[in-house]
Amino acid sequence: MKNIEDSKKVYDSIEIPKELADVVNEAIRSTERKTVIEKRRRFYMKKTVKYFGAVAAGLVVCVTLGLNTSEAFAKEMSGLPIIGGIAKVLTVRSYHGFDEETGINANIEVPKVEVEENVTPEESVTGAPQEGLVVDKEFVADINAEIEKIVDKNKAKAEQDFAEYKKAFFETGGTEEQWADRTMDVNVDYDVKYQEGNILSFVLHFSEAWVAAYAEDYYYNLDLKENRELTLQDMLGADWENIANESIIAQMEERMEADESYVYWGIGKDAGSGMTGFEGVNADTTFYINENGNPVVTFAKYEVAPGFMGVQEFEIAR
Amino acid sequence: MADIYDKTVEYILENQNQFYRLAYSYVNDKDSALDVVQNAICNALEKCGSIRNADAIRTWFYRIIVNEALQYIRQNKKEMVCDPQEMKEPVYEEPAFSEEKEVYQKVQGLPEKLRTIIVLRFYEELSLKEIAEVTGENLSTVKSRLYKGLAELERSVKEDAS
Repeated sequence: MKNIEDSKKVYDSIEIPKELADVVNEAIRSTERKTVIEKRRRFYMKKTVKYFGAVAAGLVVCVTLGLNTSEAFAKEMSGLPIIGGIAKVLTVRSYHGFDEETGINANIEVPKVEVEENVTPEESVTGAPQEGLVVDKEFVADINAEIEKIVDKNKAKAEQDFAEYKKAFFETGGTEEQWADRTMDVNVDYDVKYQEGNILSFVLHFSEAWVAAYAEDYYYNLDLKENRELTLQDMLGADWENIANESIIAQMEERMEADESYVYWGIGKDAGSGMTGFEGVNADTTFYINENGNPVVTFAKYEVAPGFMGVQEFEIAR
Repeated sequence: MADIYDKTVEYILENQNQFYRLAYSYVNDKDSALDVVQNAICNALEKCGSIRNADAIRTWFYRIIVNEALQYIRQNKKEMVCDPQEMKEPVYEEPAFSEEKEVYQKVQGLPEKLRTIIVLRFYEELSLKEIAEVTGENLSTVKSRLYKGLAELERSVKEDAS
């Protein structure tokens, strides 16, 4: 078909706007900075994990609580209708509104883990002998401090990003009029995924939306009896890697089968594309615990699949 | 990794005009096309560590642009003007040009999957094998979509002529 080749002229005559070079440079610059921050974050996370180990051995505050108890006890304890646990997640700080100076529209709910303290074994409705529980307050306090830090750091980064963007905008000839009502949305919130007995699982969401959208989730799976963060191995046992990998690949294939537009890089029909996506779970693989008590492995946008598929989640049955 | 990162940056800087045209051919709007290019670059640079072979950068980046553009269209369906007759920035027209333009608009009117293959094959001049890598489909699917797309174009051009 000759016509189609001729119509390339129309395509080639699509005018390149003069802003393109700026947009491209700004995108490259902003990612370079983000990569550096991400590296720092990883480093910081590693450090905190070690730190937890050290304090757990030292400062231990004893709170004796009933553990192997009925659902009724759990209900009573938390004052919540269905979910019950010895700890809950509350909003500790919340601010909403627009800051004229920074141009940032904030929607922030900062969570905090709170351990129930006023419950004694006598209050147990079962009256059965209680297994002792030691809650390390320092552990919880450190988690809370880390959450605060993540929120503050991300918020500061968002402010800096936006200020730099604004500066670049005017430096490249933008006018006040063009800038007009440009704002940036910064959102922080959280989801409690599982809260039963000594296990607490929640997700902290952070996102910023302006010319570029950026989102990051932080996963917390706490065992308040052992005073540590749970791993996939804790959830799935010694063979955790094989169990998770088999389940994830089977689910990826199922989803690609069900929806033709789905692609998981390098898996099934995409094998041989040269793209690497999912290559097996490891100690850094993120997950939360769902209402069935199963771990749900999560992959960020673009981690294992094209962006339009968003965050990908895989429940691994135990 | 640093090596791949630098190569990706270099590739982006060299080919930015192409990316813009490809994005524009989907969204038909300057600001939207700039958004798509920007998001694609940010996402590509964040993920480029997963590329092992520098030769894969080209098709990989095409894939990201196409996916970003499709995602953009899905997200903005309500506001998007999808009618190619109402292209916002009319191209200079000389009589001989209008036939070409008509075909171009027909291409834009094709279903997503057929259109991607036609655009990549004829406007970006990718090989069928490369297109298969970009779309994540196998070669025979790409071929059959290409023929289907061409047949559909021919049919609709004829329809207009009669």
